[in-house]
Amino acid sequence: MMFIDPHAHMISRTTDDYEAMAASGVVAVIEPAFWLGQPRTNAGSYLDYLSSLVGFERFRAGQFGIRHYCTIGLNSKEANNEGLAEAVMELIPRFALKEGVVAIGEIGYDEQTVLEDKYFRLQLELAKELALPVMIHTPHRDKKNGTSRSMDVCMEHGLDPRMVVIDHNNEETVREVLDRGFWAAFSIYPSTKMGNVRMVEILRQYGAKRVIVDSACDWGISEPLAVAKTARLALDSGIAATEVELACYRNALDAYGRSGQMMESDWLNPMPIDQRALFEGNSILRGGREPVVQEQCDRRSMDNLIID
Amino acid sequence: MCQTAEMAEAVALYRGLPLYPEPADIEPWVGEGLRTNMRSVFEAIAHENPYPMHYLDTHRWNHMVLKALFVGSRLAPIEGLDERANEELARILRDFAHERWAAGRPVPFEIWRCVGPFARGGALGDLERVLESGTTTEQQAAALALAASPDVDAKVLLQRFPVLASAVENGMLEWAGVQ
Ligand SMILES: [Zn+2]
Repeated sequence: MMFIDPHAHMISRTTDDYEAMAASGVVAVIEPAFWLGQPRTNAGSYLDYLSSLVGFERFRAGQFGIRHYCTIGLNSKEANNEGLAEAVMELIPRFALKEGVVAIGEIGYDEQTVLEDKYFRLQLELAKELALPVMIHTPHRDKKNGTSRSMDVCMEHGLDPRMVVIDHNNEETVREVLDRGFWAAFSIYPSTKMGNVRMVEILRQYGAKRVIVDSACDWGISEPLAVAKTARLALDSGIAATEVELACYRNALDAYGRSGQMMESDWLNPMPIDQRALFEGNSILRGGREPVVQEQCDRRSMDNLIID
Repeated sequence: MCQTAEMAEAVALYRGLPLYPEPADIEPWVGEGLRTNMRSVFEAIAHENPYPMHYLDTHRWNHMVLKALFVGSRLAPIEGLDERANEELARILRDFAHERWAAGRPVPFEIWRCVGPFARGGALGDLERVLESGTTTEQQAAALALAASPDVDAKVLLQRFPVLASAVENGMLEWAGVQ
């Protein structure tokens, strides 16, 4: 089975992770622009970050046979630094229409402050103007209220719910998100927010229509194989393969494909992996390693996954 | 110095908050410290520090308390925890408890301390649930919360658990003793 991980901060992950993801069946990842664990203090470091998302990180993923897409946006945490936020808002339109950018995101609320609200709304307007989907990060604290409010604001700005993915859902938020016609994404974190087992229960209860599974793997304790492992567990638990395919592959393609920047042919007819390739003179190889050069063949299998 | 601080420096800078001139002007910098992912830095502001109690508005205060729960910090060392309890925080904490219950995850017992003074209606149902199925610590916390409620129904509910009720009544059970 092929998988898409539509929320993965690969910039924080190792090449081992890329290898393991490719081996488990991941054909494409979407890397949302977010913060780096501590706040950036000037727009220059933001500019470099965004250009690495559309540049070197895409190249790095390609070296492991994974297609890399990204979303561009000013995250809610850094929206609280008004000076930085103003400067970053100037950068966003310069990146938003680049190849491989599939949404404005991840944007939304963290502490639900006045500044967060201001830049969330500005970016919703931008997404509407550019006809791009939106990826919404719902707050971890005061989640239920923050999730409802995020959707209220989208409606207020006249966005089509089918163009908006509400991410980081849980048992308490899923019903309203689906009832209101938005895409409901779930980030599978080991032991905390949403585990595999809980996700399978949600699939059983709500079905897979407009449900999207992602790993949200980043610099914290997280699981880059979360999508494949959830799929394996769901199949083993008797969820129909068509449903699993929707939640772990097709819905993400449908939602983010609305950008016109992501299509199945991108990975069905890919360039062969050639680690001899260079990005601006840089290779991912170190110290005389033998490059992997391989024609497209059956490299993937989700058997042998350990699910805990 | 703030911009280039390493972790221990950041902790030291935030520990000094109550001493700086123009305390209201450094609120954005404090907000940044509260958004950190480093627990030691967060606790330098939140724990045993009078600054938040005096200078954070209600919204930021509530988010600081919530963040403490999310990073696994205790609430008891937060100065002004009881004085600054408010209705909105109580609502947010109850939502948080429901979210945790739905996920089959434990709910930190200290949240009931902030819920107690505003506990009525549905909140009493939550506390009843804790009293009936919680651990000893959680039951003690729920009993103290009921005792702090202004609602007469809370008193009635507490009387259904006579051992805890009398422990609260005669001062044997206090928040400082709940661990
Ligand atoms: Zn993220």
